[in-house]
Amino acid sequence: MSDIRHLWLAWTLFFASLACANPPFPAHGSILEKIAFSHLDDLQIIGADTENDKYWRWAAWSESSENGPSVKLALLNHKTKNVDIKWYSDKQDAYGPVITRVVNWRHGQHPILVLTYRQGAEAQQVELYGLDEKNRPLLLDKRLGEQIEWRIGIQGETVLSIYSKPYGHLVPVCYGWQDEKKRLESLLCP
Amino acid sequence: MGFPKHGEASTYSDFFQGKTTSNGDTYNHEKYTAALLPKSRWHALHMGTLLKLTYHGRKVVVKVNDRGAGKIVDGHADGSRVLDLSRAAYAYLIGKKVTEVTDDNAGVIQLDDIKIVPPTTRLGRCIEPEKPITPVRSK
Repeated sequence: MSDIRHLWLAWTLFFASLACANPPFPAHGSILEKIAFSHLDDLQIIGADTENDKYWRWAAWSESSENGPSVKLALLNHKTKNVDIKWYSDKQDAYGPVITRVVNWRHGQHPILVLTYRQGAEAQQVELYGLDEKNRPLLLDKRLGEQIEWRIGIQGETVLSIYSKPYGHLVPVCYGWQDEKKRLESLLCP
Repeated sequence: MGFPKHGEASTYSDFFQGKTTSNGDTYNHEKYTAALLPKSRWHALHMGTLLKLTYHGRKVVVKVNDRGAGKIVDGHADGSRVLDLSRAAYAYLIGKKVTEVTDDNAGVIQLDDIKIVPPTTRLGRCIEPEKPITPVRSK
């Protein structure tokens, strides 16, 4: 059943990628309708590779089942005629996924992908992914907070703010990407 | 990890009013609900479990409908805090009205007792005596 779902998603994503290159309406209206009204919620697809190489896509969505909600993150490749799911990750008891490519946070040649998703009203997880030299995903870092936000530092740098409640009220701890150490490092909040 | 019989509790911040909880409810300051803390205890109790909480003799029944990140120190979860309470439950336990508790004056309380109660138990303030009073039979 799961394979059929992946195959269906692959076809949908393939046609969706064609839709990006052509006028979307009315020729691809039915494809867009499928994406919009299928069982996949919060579907997002963004580029995963370097600017000159457009064959890789990150896709994230959420699904509901008897076991509760779950978030899926997949790495897709469409170098051949078919769309292949090269890698797949399943987050149980999770909902509301958001993927962002942070262009000034890099792992090797690739911008880092940041996935955030909720596991409760006051539990939000953030995960950072990179690609190795063979385009295999690497989980670089992950953090849990009550709420996660992005800020801009004094020098224009990207800052990740993770809120928790050490006492009675929310307090942010800020992080920047440390390229040499390949992990998040805390810094003063701007 | 089992669920403790006592421990610290805090209350939701205003920011989370209207947000979706783990079981799909919408968080509301006025309802009697609680979130399990920290992540290592997220599955210690089923969503929907009712808990009777005692603090300085005051008792309240809440429904577990959420999971929270909890107290995080130096990037690591601190297991001392076990529940985050809705504003209504927290306010009753500390003897205040819901509107009197704010993000600025809300603190952390040490719950004296945490007890699982049957799903038929009425949610909210426990103002009835715990044990039924046995009437004295007159001869």
